[in-house]
Amino acid sequence: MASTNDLQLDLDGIDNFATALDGVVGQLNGTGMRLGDEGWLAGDKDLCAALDDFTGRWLKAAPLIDSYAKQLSGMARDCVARFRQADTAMARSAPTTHSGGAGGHIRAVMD
Amino acid sequence: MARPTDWRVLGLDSDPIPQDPDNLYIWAKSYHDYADQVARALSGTNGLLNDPALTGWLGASGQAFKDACLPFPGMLNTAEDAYRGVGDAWDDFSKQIRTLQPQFDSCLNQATTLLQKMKADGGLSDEDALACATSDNDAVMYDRMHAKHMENSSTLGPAGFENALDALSAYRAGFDPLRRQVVDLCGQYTGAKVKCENALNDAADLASKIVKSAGATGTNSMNFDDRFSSRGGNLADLVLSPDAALGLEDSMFPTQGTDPSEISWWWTSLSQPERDKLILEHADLVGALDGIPCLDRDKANRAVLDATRSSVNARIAYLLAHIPPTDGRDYPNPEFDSWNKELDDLRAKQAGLNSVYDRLNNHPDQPPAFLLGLDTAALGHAIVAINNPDTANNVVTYVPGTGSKLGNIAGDISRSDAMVGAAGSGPGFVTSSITWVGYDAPQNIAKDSPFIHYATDAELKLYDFETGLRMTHQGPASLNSIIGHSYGSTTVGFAMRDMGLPVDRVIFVGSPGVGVEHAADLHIDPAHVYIGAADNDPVANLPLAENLTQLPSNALNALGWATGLSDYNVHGPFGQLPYNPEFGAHTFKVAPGALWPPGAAHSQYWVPRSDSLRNIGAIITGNQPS
Repeated sequence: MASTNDLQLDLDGIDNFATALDGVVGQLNGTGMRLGDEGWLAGDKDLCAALDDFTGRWLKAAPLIDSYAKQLSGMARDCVARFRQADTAMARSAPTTHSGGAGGHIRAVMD
Repeated sequence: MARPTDWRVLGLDSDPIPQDPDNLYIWAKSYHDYADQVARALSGTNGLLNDPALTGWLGASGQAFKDACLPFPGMLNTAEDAYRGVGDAWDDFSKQIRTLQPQFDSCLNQATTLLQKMKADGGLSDEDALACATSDNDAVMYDRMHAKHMENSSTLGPAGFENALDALSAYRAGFDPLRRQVVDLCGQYTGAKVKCENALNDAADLASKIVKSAGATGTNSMNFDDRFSSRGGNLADLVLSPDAALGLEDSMFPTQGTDPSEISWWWTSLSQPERDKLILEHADLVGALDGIPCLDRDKANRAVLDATRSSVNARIAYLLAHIPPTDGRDYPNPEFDSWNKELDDLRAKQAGLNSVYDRLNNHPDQPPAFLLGLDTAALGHAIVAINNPDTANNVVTYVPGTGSKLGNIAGDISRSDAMVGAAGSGPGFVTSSITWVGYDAPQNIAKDSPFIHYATDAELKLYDFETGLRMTHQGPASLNSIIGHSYGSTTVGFAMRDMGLPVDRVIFVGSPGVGVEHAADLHIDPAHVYIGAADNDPVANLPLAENLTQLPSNALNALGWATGLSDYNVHGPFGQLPYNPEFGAHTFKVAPGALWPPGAAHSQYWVPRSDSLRNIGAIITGNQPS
């Protein structure tokens, strides 16, 4: 069993991580995936096809990056909520357990 | 400075290096800027992942979360590499163009100077001078000049003729080194272009790494998220192994019900050897997946077709060699009845399989056909495309109605061929028509067709198929249409009403109703809903329930809708009849059709050179029907 020191958790910090992650990914402008004017290739079919392929495949890949980031931030928030819930429950059942309350640090046996 | 436009003197039809290096440089900068933007996001993410809030989250659950985070910086890094790679490619290409263009132009200027001298010294017209300049030897030059001389239109006197010949011969020889230089420059240009193309392809391939990292097989981080949430009531269960979060096996098939977009991404993420292996070992599974490119599906389904034909033929041979004894008497014989039923079913499927095989393999004079689906479950199903829908400009899916099944598919494929013919073709303009017998259609107009479950059961299949077509199409988006005939129109209408289909246009012909009162309820602009209804088609003109008694008895018998009508909308068994003005669609011109035998007009929408076929061809190519 892990020691209580190993299990200290900064719930506010994880919450902030989720928010910051959303912000970082939000910097990526999805419309940036399609750049320039294909007319600049002066009708070269080979280059146009290669560019179309690149753009098409990255337009499919970009939402995956976005959704992956959202899943991570969502998971982090979900964990925070559940840990807070567990923290509250344990605080009620074990008065000697120290609880930081909402936004504090919990000490609990998690593994 | 404006570039020269007439390159004929160097034997070129057009400018061999037409790109503007300034534009390409702007492009390079845009892609580099975007890569920088991704790099900033990556830097920010790395900072977050090293935040004490995360590094201090210990225990198995913290480790599981951090493991789930692991691929994310890699995704951003890959995106940065891809966009920087494309930026570098444009930058290099721009520099090459900037270097090569003046050399090309210099060659052309020198050649033009020579041409002018030939013209002046030889007393030639522009056309004759050009012919002389671009000829391989002096013979052409001599002929042209001699002709001028003989017709007295030459500005040279007789004495000047011979001298001019020598001078022009020397000029003509001056083109040779210029042309050799141009050939060399063209080689350098092609090399630069191929290098740019390869860089674009490499950067495109990097997108597959994202798919692999995120997972498209159903065992991705979404599952981790689900498990995390669903087990939140017990903190001990938050212990997840990294494999549970990110366990990806490239060879794992998407689970049933996986969205075609995920299937498409998954397939893209595989290497070619992996795809080939799956096609070889699991042809039936690959061939049935919406979202896999049509060429790969076709390859898989052709293998299925061969195997299925062999097994059906073998079973028929076995049955014929084991006929149950009948003693020649007419009495109930369940064993014989069962044998006979199986034989009839197999023979029908055999006919259908042979029809499909024939269209795929024996008609080199017709557009190529592709097999996008095949199975013998129930009455059997097949999906056959005329021309490759992944590369066509226009794609139409034809959904037949009552009586359609694998065994009867030959006639439906002919209708697809007719639509491709009606659409016309030309360089860079191809229409693909797909016969979609991918659902269990009603087989008896009296006993089956009044009921809706055939249509509702088909909705998801049709939606997935149409979505898959969008996912696998290459190049600019195609104009996608869908046409439903008879009960097939009901099937299409129900799918559009309940799920919305990713199509641009819809055509209903010989329709008894499509499940809605108004075209606007089909999740498509009513201006793109087209109706064909022959005057003598009893199905398309199915009477209102309250007027049922006025239906001619022979038509009533042929249709057999009477029992079904009472269960459905008073406008018709499947809602408002589409040809009614209240439906709000565009009705196109169709010949009245034959009156005899009853119902004949219902099957005449694809008659060669008919108004209806011509109009269908117009609609599926983006034009307006009459």
